[in-house]
Parts: sequence; C-alpha cells; structure tokens
Amino acid sequence: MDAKLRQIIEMIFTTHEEGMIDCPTCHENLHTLWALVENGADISEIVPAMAAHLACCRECQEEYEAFICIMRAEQQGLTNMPPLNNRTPDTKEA
Amino acid sequence: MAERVLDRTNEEWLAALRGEGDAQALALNDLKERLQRGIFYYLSRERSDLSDLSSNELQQMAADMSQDATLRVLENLDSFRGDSMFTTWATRIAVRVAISDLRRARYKDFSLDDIMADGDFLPASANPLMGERPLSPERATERDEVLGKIRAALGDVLTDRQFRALYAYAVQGISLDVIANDLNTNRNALYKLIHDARRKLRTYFESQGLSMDYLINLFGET
Ligand SMILES: [Zn+2]
Repeated sequence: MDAKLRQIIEMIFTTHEEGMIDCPTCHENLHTLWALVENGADISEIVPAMAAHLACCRECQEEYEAFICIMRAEQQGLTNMPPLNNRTPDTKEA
Repeated sequence: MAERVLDRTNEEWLAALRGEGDAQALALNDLKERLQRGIFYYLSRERSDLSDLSSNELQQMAADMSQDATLRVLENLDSFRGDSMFTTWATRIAVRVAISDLRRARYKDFSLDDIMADGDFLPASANPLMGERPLSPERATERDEVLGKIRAALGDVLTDRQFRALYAYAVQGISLDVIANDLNTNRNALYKLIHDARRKLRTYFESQGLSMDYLINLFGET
C-alpha cells in the first residue's frame, strides 16, 4: 500500500478523544512516571491520560523513551562508565 | 577545598544550588556532569542517526547540551514540586533540551513552502498501485472514488494551515517544534491545531462510512 496514504489514514484514526492532555502537561509530568515504570507499573492503568497522549504524540513519545532510557541506564550504573573516548586502547576487559 | 558530594537529598540539592560560593559551584558541576553522562549515553547508544559522529563529537554535544540543561534547571528551581528525586526531575529537563537541539539541527534548513512544493502526495489513480496485480474493475473504481473523497476531505474539511501542518507532521515526519517555528506559533498550539484537524477528518470519514479497517483493506495488497 502507498506509504504516505497509509500514514495519513493511520494518523487520522488513531487520534484520541476527550480527556486529552496537551504536550506541556505531558512533559511537565514525565519525571513522575519514573517511579511507576521503575516499579513495573502499567502507566496506562495509573495515568491513562498521559498514556493516551504518549500513544498519539510522536514527539512526547520520543522524549519519554529518551528519559526512560537514561533513567534505566543510571539505575544500572551504565552512565558511570568512563566516556568511551577516554578509554585507553590497551584497557583490559575483566 | 570542598569535597565531591555524590548523593544529595532533594533539600540538599536545592540548598546548594540556591546557595553561593564553593558549595553552589560544586553542586552545579555535579549536576552538569551527571546530566552529561546521561545525555552521552543516550546519544551514543540510542541515536542511530548520530552513528557517523565520533565519540569525541558526541561528548562535545553532550557537554553543550548538559551546560544548557543545567542553566535551565537553575532557572526553573522554583517549579520543582518535590514529586520525584531532584535528579529525576533535572533529567527530564535535560532530555527536553537535548531532543529540542537534535530536532533543530536535523531540520535547520526546513521550509514548509519547500515541502509543500512537492504537490499532490496521493497516488493520482489507484489502479493499480505499484507492484500489485491488476485490480478488478469494480475495485479500481471503488479505490478511485475513495481517493477522491480523501483528496476532497484534505482540501475542503481542513483549513490551509491545518493541511500544511498535518502534511508536514504526518507525511513528512517533521518535528512539531520545527513546524511551529515556520508557522509562527508554538508547539502546543500546533499540537492542538493538528489534533483538531485529525478529529475533523475522522468525523468526516466516519460520516462517509469509511472506517480505518475498510480503508486499509481497500488500499492494501491485493
Ligand atoms: Zn505531546
């Protein structure tokens, strides 16, 4: 199927309805989601309005994914590794 | 010389950042470094579109972004409600700074007029779409009729501004920040404009008896 046609069709029919929140509201509350995600909660149950916004706003979704990616990496100690370019070539792996 | 403080409570962060002298400088430095590590991780591991940049270039990018983010955090300290760890809140702000920068860089030469010059993006005739087997005459006629309705909807149901915004966002995949700038509006107003356009189209399609399943099926592979 024609890709552009499909994009238009999907975008029209996946729009969410009343009770929507806007992008700033979504963004301003993003940090509060971490405590939920960290504990494995289903955000669509606890904060359905935000989950609905994330599902149909590509931009907030991108920010959400970046935020969760960094938080997870911090939690797992991955961001504490020395920057890649500061590693000497002869560093021995454990 | 003040010692590095790795873990601070929210109150300690706020006190240090609002304070002065060494304690504030140290807190600013710790915050910037933490944000920089997070941003660097994201840029180097999650952004395939940046894979042709060297590690040094990504480090520099992360350093600049974390510098901006730290200033943004400082300006917005009063809006921290204490509803998360301070650093979680600061990370959220840093993500916004980083992603906005990336979007601006990606579309720095963007002009809505240029992309609208592409003209009609819908297939001129639906019979047959590329790579498909020939359609039955009935199906070809049905597709042409529905394509005509879609074209009419985009032209008549939407305002010109709505159509341009929707086209740039949905078809061209351009960022809201970038389109908003071109249309002299802000991201949120633009989101609402596009949302209204989506709802108008959906209402119209439904009034014509055209559901998503029907359309996908009609234009799907034969
Ligand atoms: Zn949004």
